[in-house]
Amino acid sequence: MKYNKMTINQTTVHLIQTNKFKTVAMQVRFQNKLDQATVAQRGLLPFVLRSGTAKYPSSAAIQQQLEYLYGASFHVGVEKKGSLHTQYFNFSCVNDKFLPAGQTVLADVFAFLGEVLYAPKLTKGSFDPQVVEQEKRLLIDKIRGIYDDKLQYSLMRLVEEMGAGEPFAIRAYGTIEDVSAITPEQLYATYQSMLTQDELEIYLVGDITPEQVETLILTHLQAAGAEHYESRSRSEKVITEVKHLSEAQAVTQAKLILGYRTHTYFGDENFFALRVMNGILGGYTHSKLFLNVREKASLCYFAASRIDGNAGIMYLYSGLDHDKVSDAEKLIIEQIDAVQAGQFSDHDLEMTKLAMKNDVLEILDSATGMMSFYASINDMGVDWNVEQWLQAIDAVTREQVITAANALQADTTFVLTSQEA
Amino acid sequence: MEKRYYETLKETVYYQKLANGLQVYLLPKPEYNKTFATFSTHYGSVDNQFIPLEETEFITVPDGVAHFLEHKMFESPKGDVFQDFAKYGASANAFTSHDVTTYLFSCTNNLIENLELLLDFVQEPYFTPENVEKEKGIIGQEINMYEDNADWRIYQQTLAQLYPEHPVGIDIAGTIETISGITDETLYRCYHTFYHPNNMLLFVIGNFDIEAVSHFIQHNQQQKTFAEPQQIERFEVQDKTQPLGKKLALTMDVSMPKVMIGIKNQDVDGIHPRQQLKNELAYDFMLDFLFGSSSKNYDQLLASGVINDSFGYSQTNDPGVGYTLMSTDTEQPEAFMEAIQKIVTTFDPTSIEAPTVERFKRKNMGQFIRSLNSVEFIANQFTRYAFNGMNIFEVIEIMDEITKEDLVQAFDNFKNQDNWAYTLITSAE
Repeated sequence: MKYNKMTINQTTVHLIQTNKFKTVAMQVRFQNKLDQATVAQRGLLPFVLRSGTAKYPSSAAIQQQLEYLYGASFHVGVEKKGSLHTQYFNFSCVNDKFLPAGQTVLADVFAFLGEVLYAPKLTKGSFDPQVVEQEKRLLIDKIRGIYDDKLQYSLMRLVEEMGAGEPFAIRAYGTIEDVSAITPEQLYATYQSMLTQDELEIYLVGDITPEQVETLILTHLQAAGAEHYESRSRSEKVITEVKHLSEAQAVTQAKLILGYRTHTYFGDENFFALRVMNGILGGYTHSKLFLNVREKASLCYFAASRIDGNAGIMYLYSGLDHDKVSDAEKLIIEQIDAVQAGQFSDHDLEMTKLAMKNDVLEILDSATGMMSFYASINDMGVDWNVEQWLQAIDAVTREQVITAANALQADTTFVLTSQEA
Repeated sequence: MEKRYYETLKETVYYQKLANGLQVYLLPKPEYNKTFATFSTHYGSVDNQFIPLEETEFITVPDGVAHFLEHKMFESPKGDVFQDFAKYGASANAFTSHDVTTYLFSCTNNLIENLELLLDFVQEPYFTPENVEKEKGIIGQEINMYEDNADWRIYQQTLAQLYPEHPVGIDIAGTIETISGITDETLYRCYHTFYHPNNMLLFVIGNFDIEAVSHFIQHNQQQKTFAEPQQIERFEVQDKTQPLGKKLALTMDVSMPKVMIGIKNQDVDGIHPRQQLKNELAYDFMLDFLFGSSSKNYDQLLASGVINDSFGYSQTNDPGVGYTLMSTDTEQPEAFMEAIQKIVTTFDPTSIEAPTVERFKRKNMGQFIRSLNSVEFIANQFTRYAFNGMNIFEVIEIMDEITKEDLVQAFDNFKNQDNWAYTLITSAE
């Protein structure tokens, strides 16, 4: 595996050369500042671009071309990271080396990408109103659908309440009202701005050379509009009391979500200590939450924690009987207390580090995992190799874990239950 | 070990059947960091009537036993098996399907130690009345979690409509009521019948030394004694009932109604495994032709507003059980059902053109090669197919043989709407 960072045509290109996969995977990212006023339009735009180009004027025509390109996959969407909003266009295609003799697809995939980005289907100088309306409906249905996944819904509600007024509470796709209000003309203006104002970043993984990549990009893609936007943002919010929220729905199982401020962000000196702390508390099947809330108390099927290093947040979540919610909450808080008081063995610490190192090495066995690993390295502003990442995990001490645990501050609790408050 | 090289895929598989009957497959991937191992038994939720090992009469066990057993395997006399894997930096897990139960781990270090753990914990059951009772709380919450999952419930209810007499129509985990009847004794009887090495398959894929791993597995198995391999007597249910277009409506707290159409394939018995794989592929092509995102039908369904991105279809063709499922979230469930019926009644299979079949071949071939990036996909699919006498690595070759006539044949099975059933989920209000 060889990592190359290049600048081609004002675009930052991350090429990870590897012969591990039978494919070439690519992620094209248009990035700008996260802003409530533009998220919905930026969220809709990739779907409209995917639904027709001058050459492939319908969604069916686009899909036929992808099928013809040996089933190349093409996924679009938006995501947020700290103070950044990213529109992504992801491709994966079979490496030419694995196709029947004489067949190639990589150059065609790049040509197709160029077509999607720079030659959309237009009517009277703007996007087709019918296409825009259809994609609006599909996006609204997607936003509505979150309600059906009760855990995801509960997490979303917690984030909204906990982060009110902060960037991390902004939904990547905006609200149903924001999407409904979009006009084809506004969306076309958003498209122009994407081409001229966004930072463009490309990740590529596969058995291809920097020279191949340079030629493909110069041939098929245009120069980026902007250079770089910073993703880090720190919360200034002062928490005076813990918010307790509950919502009633006709559900069989209650969901309990606890939100904590970690006061530690991606790239901070003690960030790895925070991650180890999370592992000891609730990241694994050897963690305190799994052992004590599930195995010992038989209260639930899942009880876990995870951190968001961009927002400085830790979430703890579980699904329980309605009348067991307060028992579980008490038991979960006891587990945090235990880590804060240093009540974990050296063996716990070692198992967690082993598991985390194993995770990193396993992530590097997938193309998207490789992309996210190098994205993290770049976000941290360091120039590490895999070995240095593993060393950072190993270097975390018991005292640092205790310090990270004691920096935790309870912020908001959300309960989804069939019982009226 | 026997060595098989697959030229187009550039993969080598090593195979051996041990004296105790265990099938062992090793697939080296030296470029990977990790090794992924699965230890599977050809036993799942549908095996609820059988003659237990060394007995003579058929028994019926409570629904959900196979899945309950899977949970309880993770407890050993020394304690929690997850902890043992964690000590060696591995993450372990397991899952139960209709016909297979799989135990697995992945690791980037200490492979032999982890393999030993896997083989030993699955081959050393430890059930007590107390630990069986305690598990009922945990599995009860797992069942409740699925109760709230509308996509799971619509799937389960559709299968129940298609198969009222076959256990595939029963939820894999059972219900809180059925699992309450499970005892340590039930678990041991199921265990001894279905966890014999002769009914199991070990698949190891990733970065390892063939010689060392193969030697270790043989050595580990030679240390243990098992009963003589025996043919397992399973009660084979034949469910030829016709759902006759019946409809089932449920209420749940959902954002938008959900609808699923289930189509039973009655032609699934006594088919040669290779032909069965070919039928399965032809079915996929036929469904892509009718409803795929590159089809005119799909564009029209989208434009008329009866489907959204949640629309999807899938098919299963196993020995004795075959079905296609099509579903969507929609504000117009009736219009969706009518639209699909109309597409099928008015479809002229002779309109399938050879270039379209060729395009589907390119698509499916490419997607299959892409999926081989995942060692999990290879291990799980290989095992599933092997238990049914098929070889997943022959897919590309078989795909190449598919012609327009195979799609027409698949459509012939599909079009009889007496074999269709419908399930709807709407919110109360």
